[in-house]
Amino acid sequence: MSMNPIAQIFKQGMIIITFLILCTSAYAQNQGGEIKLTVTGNNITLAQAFQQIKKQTGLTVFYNNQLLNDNEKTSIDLKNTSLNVVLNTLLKGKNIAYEIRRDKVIVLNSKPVTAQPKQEDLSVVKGKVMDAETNQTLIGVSVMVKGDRSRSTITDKDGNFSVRVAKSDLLTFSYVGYSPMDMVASNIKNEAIKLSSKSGDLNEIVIIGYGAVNRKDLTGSVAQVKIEDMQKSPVASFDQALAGRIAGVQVSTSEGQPGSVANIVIRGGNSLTQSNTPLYVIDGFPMEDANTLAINPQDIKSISILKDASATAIYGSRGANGVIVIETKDGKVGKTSIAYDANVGTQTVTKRMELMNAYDFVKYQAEFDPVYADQAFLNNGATVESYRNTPTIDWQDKLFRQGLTQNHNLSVNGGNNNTKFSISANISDHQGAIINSGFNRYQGRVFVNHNVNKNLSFNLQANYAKYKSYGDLASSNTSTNQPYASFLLYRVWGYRPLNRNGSTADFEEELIDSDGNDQRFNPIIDYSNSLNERVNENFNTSGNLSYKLSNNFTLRIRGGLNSRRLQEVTFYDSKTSRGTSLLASNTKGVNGGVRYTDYINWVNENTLTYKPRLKNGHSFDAMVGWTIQGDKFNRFGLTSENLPNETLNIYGLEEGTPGANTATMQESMLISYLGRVNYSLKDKYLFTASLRADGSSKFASNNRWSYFPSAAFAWKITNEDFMKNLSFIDDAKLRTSYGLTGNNRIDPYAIFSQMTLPYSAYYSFGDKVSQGITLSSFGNKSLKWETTEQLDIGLDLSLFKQRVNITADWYKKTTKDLLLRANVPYSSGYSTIYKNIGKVGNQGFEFSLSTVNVKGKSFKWESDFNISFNNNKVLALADDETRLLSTVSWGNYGSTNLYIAEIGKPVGQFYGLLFDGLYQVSDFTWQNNSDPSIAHANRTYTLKANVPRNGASTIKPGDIKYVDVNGDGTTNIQDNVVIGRGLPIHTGGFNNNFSYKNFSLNVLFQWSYGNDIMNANRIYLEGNDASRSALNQFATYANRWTYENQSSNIPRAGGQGLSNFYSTRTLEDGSYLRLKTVQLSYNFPTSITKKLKMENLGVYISGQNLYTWTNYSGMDPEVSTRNSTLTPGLDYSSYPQMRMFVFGLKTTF
Amino acid sequence: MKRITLTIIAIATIGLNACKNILDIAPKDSIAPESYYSNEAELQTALSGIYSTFIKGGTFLNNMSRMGLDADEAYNWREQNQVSDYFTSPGDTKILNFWREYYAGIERANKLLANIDKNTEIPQNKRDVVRGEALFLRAYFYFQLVSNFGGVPLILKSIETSDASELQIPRTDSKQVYEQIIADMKTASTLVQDINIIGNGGRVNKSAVYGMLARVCLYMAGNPINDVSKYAEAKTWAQKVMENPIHKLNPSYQQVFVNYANDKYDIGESLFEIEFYGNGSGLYANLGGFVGFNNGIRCTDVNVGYAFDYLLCTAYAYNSFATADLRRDWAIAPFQYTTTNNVTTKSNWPAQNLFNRNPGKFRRESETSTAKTSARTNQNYPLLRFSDVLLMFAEADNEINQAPTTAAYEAINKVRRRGYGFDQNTPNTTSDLSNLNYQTFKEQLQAERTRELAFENMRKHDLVRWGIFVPKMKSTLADAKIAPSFTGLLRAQSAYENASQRDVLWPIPSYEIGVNPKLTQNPGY
Repeated sequence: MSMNPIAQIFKQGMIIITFLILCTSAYAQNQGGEIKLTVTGNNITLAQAFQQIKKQTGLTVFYNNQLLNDNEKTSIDLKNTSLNVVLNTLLKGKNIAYEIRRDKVIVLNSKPVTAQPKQEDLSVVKGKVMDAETNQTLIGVSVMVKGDRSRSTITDKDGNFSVRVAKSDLLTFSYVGYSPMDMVASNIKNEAIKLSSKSGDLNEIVIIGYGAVNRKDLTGSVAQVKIEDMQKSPVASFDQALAGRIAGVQVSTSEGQPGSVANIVIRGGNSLTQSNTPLYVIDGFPMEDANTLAINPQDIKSISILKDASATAIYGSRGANGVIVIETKDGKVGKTSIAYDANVGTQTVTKRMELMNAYDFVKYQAEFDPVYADQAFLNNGATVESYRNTPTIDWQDKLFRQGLTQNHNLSVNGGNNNTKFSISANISDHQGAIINSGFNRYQGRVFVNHNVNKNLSFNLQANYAKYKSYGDLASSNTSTNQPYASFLLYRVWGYRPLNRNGSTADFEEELIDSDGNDQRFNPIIDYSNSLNERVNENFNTSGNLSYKLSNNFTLRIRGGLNSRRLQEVTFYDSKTSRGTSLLASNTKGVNGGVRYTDYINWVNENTLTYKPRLKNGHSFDAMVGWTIQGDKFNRFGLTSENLPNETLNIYGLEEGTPGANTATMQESMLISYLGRVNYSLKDKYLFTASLRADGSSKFASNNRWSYFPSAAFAWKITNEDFMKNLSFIDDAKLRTSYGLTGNNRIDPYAIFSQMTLPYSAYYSFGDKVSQGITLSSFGNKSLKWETTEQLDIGLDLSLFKQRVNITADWYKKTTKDLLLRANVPYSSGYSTIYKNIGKVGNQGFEFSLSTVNVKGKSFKWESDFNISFNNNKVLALADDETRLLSTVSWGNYGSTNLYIAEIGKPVGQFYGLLFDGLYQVSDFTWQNNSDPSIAHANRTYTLKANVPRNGASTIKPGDIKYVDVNGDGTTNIQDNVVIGRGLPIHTGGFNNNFSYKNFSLNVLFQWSYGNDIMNANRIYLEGNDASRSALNQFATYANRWTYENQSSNIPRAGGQGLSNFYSTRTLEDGSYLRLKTVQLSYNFPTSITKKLKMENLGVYISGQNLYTWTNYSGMDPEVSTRNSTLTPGLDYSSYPQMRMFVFGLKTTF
Repeated sequence: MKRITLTIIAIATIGLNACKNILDIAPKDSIAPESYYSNEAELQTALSGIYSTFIKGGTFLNNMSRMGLDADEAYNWREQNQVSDYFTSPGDTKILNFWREYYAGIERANKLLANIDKNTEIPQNKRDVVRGEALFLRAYFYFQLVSNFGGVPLILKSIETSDASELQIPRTDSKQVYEQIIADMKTASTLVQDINIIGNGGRVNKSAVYGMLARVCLYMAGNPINDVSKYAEAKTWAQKVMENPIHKLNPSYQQVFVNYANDKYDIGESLFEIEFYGNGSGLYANLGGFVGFNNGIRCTDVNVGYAFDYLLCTAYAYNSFATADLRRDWAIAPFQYTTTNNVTTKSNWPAQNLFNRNPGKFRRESETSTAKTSARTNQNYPLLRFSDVLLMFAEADNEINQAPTTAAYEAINKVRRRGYGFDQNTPNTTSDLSNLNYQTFKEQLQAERTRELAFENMRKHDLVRWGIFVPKMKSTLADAKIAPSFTGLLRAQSAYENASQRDVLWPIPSYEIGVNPKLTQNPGY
């Protein structure tokens, strides 16, 4: 293992060197704003003179023969003279101007009418251009002389320029990524000219689908992530750092399992069972599965989030969930810089559960199962009181740990005008807060841009990442034999907390707790000996070719390939529940398996843009293109059982008995045609229209093609005359858009009925095995596209010299023909069928406010606040149904509906019984006309006739009671009502940047309000729903109902009622406010860095998930272990969220 | 401009041509039903797929003996708050799995029946045998459903679209379901092969169909349908089995079960059995079963035969036997295993401990296989034995004549003589019943079914059809209240206390009602 990253770094080192060589040679050619040359000759033709220029400079002179008669004779004798002088001499007296272009061409044209200043009025002005903030010199800045392009130049390698100007000339300095600056020539003194970079500015370039646009010209709703703030979060992948940063983008992690990916939902989920993950476009490559873990967050240059239909419709069938467009860092023109950034720290759980101690446990067992309690604890004269001071084993102590994390980034960056490069490498290692779990990554990346000539340029990026997450999944059922017994946290919390009376065995080291009737396996020994690794190798590359066919037309061809191999390795030795032979349920003995999945996605895109130069305030551009994209995956796997030599680990797989094998593949293809036009009138009225046609292999040929149009209009109010007086408004723009987008995220073979021959369908006749076939899926030939229509109205406002920026959007989305993996009656022979079902609406409002609160000389405070409201509503369901019920599977629950989607109400509402406290003694009658003198233990309780029953056959005081909604005298599923909401009412974030001298502090708060959580852990561990013997409970259960404690609302031991019911008893408010990220950093002053020969040196401490304000009683309110739009907010045995602290260092050389 | 136009045309042409056929992508790793059922082997494979319904966790594999069907004969002492202890919730997963597996089997049968004549080049007689087996299996699956749930959706063809009208089917009245079962079984009886041709009871055969028809008719004749005309039909079907000279009782009651443990087929006695295969390891791990494991004698020694006992017997079951009846100490294990230092010994239960004993009918120590594991067993499980046919005949005959006839006596006494270890055809005063009236014969017959068929998954349905489910459960509760205390007894007490009139049927799974609003719930749930 350890060789790999080193080899990787070495390989990259070689690449760096190769590039450095290439770059220096490219740079040499570009030397000299002032080329000196010698042109001599008597009575030569102009054509001959031009030949001499070409010979010495490589510059070809282009002209029209009608403009210039090149046979005209001239005499010239200029030695070592600048090219400008040579040309001026040759063209003297002619009404001809020239332009020296970068592609080594001199173009002659008729002179513009504007009066040229006479040569003798010109003087040379010299200067230097620098970055306003870093004081880095900027190379290749274009210095334009207004009205005379022939005198324009660029800055050299030291940022210097010299240009011949008249005093009144206006010079424009422009540079990619910086705001252009105009200066009157006479004002240029010896001081450096400082350009400020554009980020956060109205002029910033926003990357949108198949193009880029100036933020002020945007017609759609597109949000930009503040990358620098995002990168302050010490997490392994960028998705985990996005929470709370962007209005309308809800980011949450289902749980803390290392290597798990955040759920990102933009403007509410449209799709009910299918993925609501946005489409990712990474360096132009659209991907439904971004593999965000393969991307180093530090490599990201920009993230644009496309929210409304105007922005997303260009992605057609895949745009309905919103689009996240990511550009990775390319090289920067200038001195090659090397940056190294490293941090180390710890990860711990945000909370632990309080469990019953030994005394409470024994007391409970004595009430719940006296026979067991007598055998195990209350023998040899011991009573419950004897356990008052018995030490408790808290198994959480052994499960949770302080995980160490470290993260190293190295990047090299540089380039010149023609070639730029960026190379980086990252090593991360994050130990989880649970033993034997974690995540690590080795990653490297190269990005090169090159301009071949003035018309042709290309770029190429390649990213390789190998990342591994390990540890059994805490919230999945890892064994089908004992479904309830295989969820990690349940097992740890419920494991018996003390040894049997008089037992001398070391209970903590024993593999099996024989006391529970269900043969519980020691969860700590089990988890620490299990091997479950998921290793991904991801190679992603894409290349772009851009060719300027003429001044107006540009052709872009893009190709991309993403190849990922997932290797899943499992190995269970004899010290694990799945490998032991001590458990009857384990049929496999020591066993293991390896499974490989290869994913290949490729894309080809071809677009042509047309951008004519129009006059009179019209501006127009158009883009058309077609693309083709293919996805394919193959999976092969083998398992082996009863391995004789467990010390060989997985390398002994060949010695065992072969178990189940896997071989499967899927492929799909998408072909699209797209087009977009932008038109702007007088820079006040902006129009955009786009259309995409998509054809997908996932649908039958009659439903295969669909069309996704959109239109948008924006009005730049500030450019109207009547706004001129309102000087405090820098910019105001009103936007509106409407369009259609789609979703095709279904099984690529959903239209095909399929049959398979699994071993589970075999049967033996006369003791001879015979193959059997099953109907594995029902193909629905009539499936068609899911379509979302979206209307958006938005306002962008920038006030007080851009110190206050506001963006507000209102939107309304309607999704019809919802693609649903619908639960169907089992009586059909199937459990799920893909259907188009009904309509869902999402309507919402989102608001972001960015302010510069304090802008002093040394102290600065900037903040970003955002809040979003989304209101989700089911508008129609298929087949005249009025509701859609959903289940989630955990423990022994899997068939009880917990969620309901009803017409007119939001999806993902919790559905169940209303908890009505407990039955009290007064609800019953007993012997002798309820004689109170009879001791409780001797009473035979009969429920009074007017008190509703709870569905169980026997009921006693202290038993759980529900509201009998329909009044039929008993509570059952007919009494189920909506008991809570799974989706929040609003979510948001509040980000602050403080800086004082060299210190800066970033503080991010994030919240979710109004959603409920079904705390299913309490169903088993605060009431023992499944009546399991010797099962420990949460500490709260010590306060359960007893005859001595009748005011309690927690059911008596054994009083939990019928299993498989959900009620409001365990439904909790899941709202929270979280101090999500804090980073405090210090940048050493230049006086120190200069001595160290560094450009930059900083140190920081940062933390993630630092504090949470919530009423939720579980481990963490950011949880949804069976997450989908229909089934949000279940908490069962989730891997706890982790709190992270790191200390880091940042350097640039 | 020309250059540009050309480029555009070129790109567009490539793009348009490319898309013609490449979007037609069909699965390459599975089989399409349209292309299947085309030869004899494929029909057999499809048929095996239907048979495999029997060995699913939800049917006769892991949940067998864990769903309270042993009623007053045995109780599940390991599991609480579910169907096994009559604390039944409509959300019970075992009940849902039961429902799901049988309907999955029905769909496979429907699909095969719809496609069976696709290739008419397969000889008609071969197709008919397959058709007969598929029809019987579908009918048997419906029999399992209707006897446990009452009326159920009666689906006789596979779905073609995803429309609600095809997916959401209301319950058909239980009488109609029974009639369909009888009709299908009758058809099957003319198509399937004779048991002596097949040579074992593992495959559907004429005797199995006749015998099962007798059982279905008895269920229809009793509660809740009470169509007494069906007694005559039941008798006819039972007679058809008895007329076949190949059928006779195995001289030894014990040997019947030792045979199941060793995959030995006895087509004289065992008319239809579920075949389990292997020991739960390797490729065919799924084919192993839990006979003798879930319903066997608790044992941790793999060499003797590991058993995780769910079932403990009741005092009623034990006391129903006469002392001389050899079946008692086989059906109910009089001993327990104790393993210390890898040495396993047997020790007999004290006489008063009647609720502590495991069923001993299916004994893992009988297995002679050397590859025993603690995972699965290869023991087969009887669905229909000849002794059952004799008892059904006797019962029907007594009902028809409202008094025991000589034929009825002969049938029941054959079973008893064999049970006592006597020759089945020689009258014997120790074992034989005589001088009974209609009612006392009926009572003896009801007890005889426990004595002969205990733990064979029929007791609850028998009690229900006789209309004595609740009283029998409550009398067992009374027994449990006075028995010597131990952990299991608490379970017995709560199970028999919980059992009530509503338990004659299981609830329709709440999940199913959720996705099919046309379903109604059974009373009391």
